[in-house]
Amino acid sequence: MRGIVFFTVIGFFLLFACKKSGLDTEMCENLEKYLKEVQNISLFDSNYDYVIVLQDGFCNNCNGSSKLVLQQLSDLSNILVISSKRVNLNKSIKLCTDKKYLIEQYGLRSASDLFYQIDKNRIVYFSYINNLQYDKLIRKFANQ
Amino acid sequence: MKANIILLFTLIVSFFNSCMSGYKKYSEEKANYTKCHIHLSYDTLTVNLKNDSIIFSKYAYQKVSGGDYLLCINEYSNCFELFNLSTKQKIYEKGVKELSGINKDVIFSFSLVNFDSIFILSNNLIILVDTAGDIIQKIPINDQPGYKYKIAPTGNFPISFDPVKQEILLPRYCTSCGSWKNTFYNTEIELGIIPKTKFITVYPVLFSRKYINNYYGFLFKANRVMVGNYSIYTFPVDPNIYRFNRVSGKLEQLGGVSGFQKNKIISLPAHVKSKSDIKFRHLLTSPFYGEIIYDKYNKLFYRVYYAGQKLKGNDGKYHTWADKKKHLMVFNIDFKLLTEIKLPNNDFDPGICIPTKNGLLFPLTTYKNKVIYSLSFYRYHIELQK
Repeated sequence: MRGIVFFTVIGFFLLFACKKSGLDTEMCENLEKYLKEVQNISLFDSNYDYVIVLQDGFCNNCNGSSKLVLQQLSDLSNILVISSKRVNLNKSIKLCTDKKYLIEQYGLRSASDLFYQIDKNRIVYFSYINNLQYDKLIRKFANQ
Repeated sequence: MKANIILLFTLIVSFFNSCMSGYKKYSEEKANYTKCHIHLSYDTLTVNLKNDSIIFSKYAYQKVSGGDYLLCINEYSNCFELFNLSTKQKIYEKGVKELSGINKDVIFSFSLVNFDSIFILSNNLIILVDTAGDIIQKIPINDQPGYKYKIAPTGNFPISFDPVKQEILLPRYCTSCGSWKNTFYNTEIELGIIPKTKFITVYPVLFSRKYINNYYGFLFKANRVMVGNYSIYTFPVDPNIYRFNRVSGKLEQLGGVSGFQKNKIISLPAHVKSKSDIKFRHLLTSPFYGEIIYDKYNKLFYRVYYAGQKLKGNDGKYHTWADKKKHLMVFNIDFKLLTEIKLPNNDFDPGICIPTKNGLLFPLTTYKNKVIYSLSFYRYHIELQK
């Protein structure tokens, strides 16, 4: 009986902790799978701290603000950007193009751009980028 | 006693409300099938662009002086471009700002009545202009401070001109209601303005009653096509077709369910209203209906039915927008369903469908590849055989 209570409490705790962290496991797995199978990149062996998936050409509501944010930054060799077409970014940013729109088949197509933060070779933060989050994003980059 | 009085009062108010609006509870009408032999063939049509490129989503088509004309905003060149589809030539182009005085981003829709009359609906103006760029009239709209109802489309609901009543017909919605609330769907969706007198008529047509107490994420749009005295409305989640006579004020509900619809369209909880990822997946997996298109040459109506699909395929990969199965529903003038034609899945986006004298055109572009170097179309020839 005590065991059941213990595991229930632990279960609720984990559920709450995951929800709090904002980590969408499915979207994290999707990115890892996509990078490995399509772009031949393993996050475990890379030095990237951030991955941004741009939804160019997919949605009519995306206003290109992610690109503007990225264009404000300089010397960011720790950022990986996925885009369906070539975009004008700082040369230090690694850009992977996805002309065949394979991000769709890996569940990464969305109504907004995607943002991932990586620490010690694992994804520690994921969010859909909306206008409210750009300021947060700029601060995040500025503080590093 | 007090509670009884309140209950009685509520019942009386709701009774009067339902009587006043003339709207009943939602019911799905079965489509009326009519046996008819149809001869179907298809080919392609290419308009010579020389070395230009084109990307367009805003367009209008019209038969003017014997030819089929397509007017569109080329987002690539930022110009209004006019094509004669009969001679397969571009005959005219003019910068969007040069022609209309406004930026392309604030234009919702436009209508080509003839070369002397192009009606443009923008965020805060209705503009009547000719192809020479001479502005004939400007009517300010959406300019009262704190306005609740906006003249703007939620779906494919273009500005139209009724030549008999000399009235401009416009879409309308409630800006402050929120598409997850019933008040949004209890707002009249069309109004008319007579340009000479500025007299406004708000027509008593609401959103489909299927939206009452149901939230469908991105599938909340109102589509309308104007045919003579009639405004014909459709809504993505509702198979019914609504025909409204603007002269008599009579609203008819006509059956239009596709024979290929196997699954119900599931609603979403209202709390996901700001979760665009959930709404996007709902859009990708739900069956839904496109807008009605009128073919005045063959006296037919068309509508595309998009089938539902699972989120992932058997290979574990996610289904894409292109994987959605699509059927072109063909109705006669009385909305009897004649046939449903399977459309190709990949590299074919039936979001733009243009009926011309020489066939039904679908641009050979997709959401994956919008920029094209030649303006090419799939062309379906649909002939009714008696």
